[in-house]
Amino acid sequence: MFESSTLDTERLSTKYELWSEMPDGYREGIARVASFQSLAEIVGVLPFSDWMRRVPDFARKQMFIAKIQDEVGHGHITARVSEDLGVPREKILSDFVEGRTKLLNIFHFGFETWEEVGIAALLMNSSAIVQFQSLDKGTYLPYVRALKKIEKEEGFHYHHALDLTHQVMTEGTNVQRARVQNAFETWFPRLIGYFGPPDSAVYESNPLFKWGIKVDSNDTIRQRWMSKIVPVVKSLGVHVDDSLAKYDENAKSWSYSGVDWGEVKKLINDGGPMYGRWVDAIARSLESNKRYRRAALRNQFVDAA
Amino acid sequence: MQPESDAEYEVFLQIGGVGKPIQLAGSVRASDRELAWQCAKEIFTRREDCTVLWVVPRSSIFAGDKTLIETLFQGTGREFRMPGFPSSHRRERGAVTEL
Repeated sequence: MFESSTLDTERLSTKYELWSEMPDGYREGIARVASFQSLAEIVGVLPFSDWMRRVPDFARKQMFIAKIQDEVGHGHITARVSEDLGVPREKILSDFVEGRTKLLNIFHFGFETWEEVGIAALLMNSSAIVQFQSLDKGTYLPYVRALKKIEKEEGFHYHHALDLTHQVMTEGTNVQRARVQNAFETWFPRLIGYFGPPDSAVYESNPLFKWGIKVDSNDTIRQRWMSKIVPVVKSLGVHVDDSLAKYDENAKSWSYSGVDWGEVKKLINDGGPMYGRWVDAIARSLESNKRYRRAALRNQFVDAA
Repeated sequence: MQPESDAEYEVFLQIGGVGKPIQLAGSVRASDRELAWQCAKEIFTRREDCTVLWVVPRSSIFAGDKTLIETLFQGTGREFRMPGFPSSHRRERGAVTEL
């Protein structure tokens, strides 16, 4: 189930550029995937920019700024991919502000303590990297090229998060280490949920999968991530309880718990703790930047409203 | 490829040192070339030591049409372009060495 077959190489072998003839629905499918990622990159900035005035030292602040710049850049390049396919970039943000597109579960939360930031970022970055490394084997080449650039930069963010967590765990107080442990137990199930619901019996008939836009199944990527991140987290001194994640030697896979799929769906639909604030922040930014968009795209200005 | 709009600019850059190939990095959208260049600088060169940065309106790029493109993929497999051609003469030359 987790290995690719010869059928997979055929599925992924026809590649497309912007000017290629595409199967019916392919263009819309990849535009949706790219614009969804663009939104995630931009909104994903907000829990971090929220901490900008509270970062405890200057070097960390510089690294924060660098990360935020990178993420906005990622938003730009994925927006470019979907823009070339007919989705105006303003629509990506206005659809979010007006409730037409939803956020993945992890983006509904912020960070309550500084100690939470490192470990949460570590889990989020590693998940993103594993997911992009799967998607970059896909069939739409402009998106593949964008992902390769994004992955490289996510690697830097991963190392920053690793360094931050390591610093707290080795130089911090018991109270601070306990915060890291708590944050891990809070975020780990969220990230398990991030990879999507368990594979249905018919996931291979999903058009995105058949066309090679989606490369691996949710479970495949989730398992790959767990194999990578659990040893890393343990090496930092964080306890990973068997009830959260345990490798089954016989099944050759990770068992996990702590994810209520009904709750995840409800969260995505109704909005989590930070959802209202993020919507507000994006709406205000769209409004206040309107004049710059008019100046930057004089002839092609599309009103967000 | 028939690019339709002149608001998209393809971005080419040279990183890794002078003399390296100038390569396609991606595209930006802007209303004029100066702004396109600045956007490209921000998005594509923030983490690189860049020595050349070009932005070219997509509409300026001519990439051929379907029939022309099909003729591109015949570059290899022409024996008369290979150093060993004709193989009979090569065998006779025997030990005469390359430059």
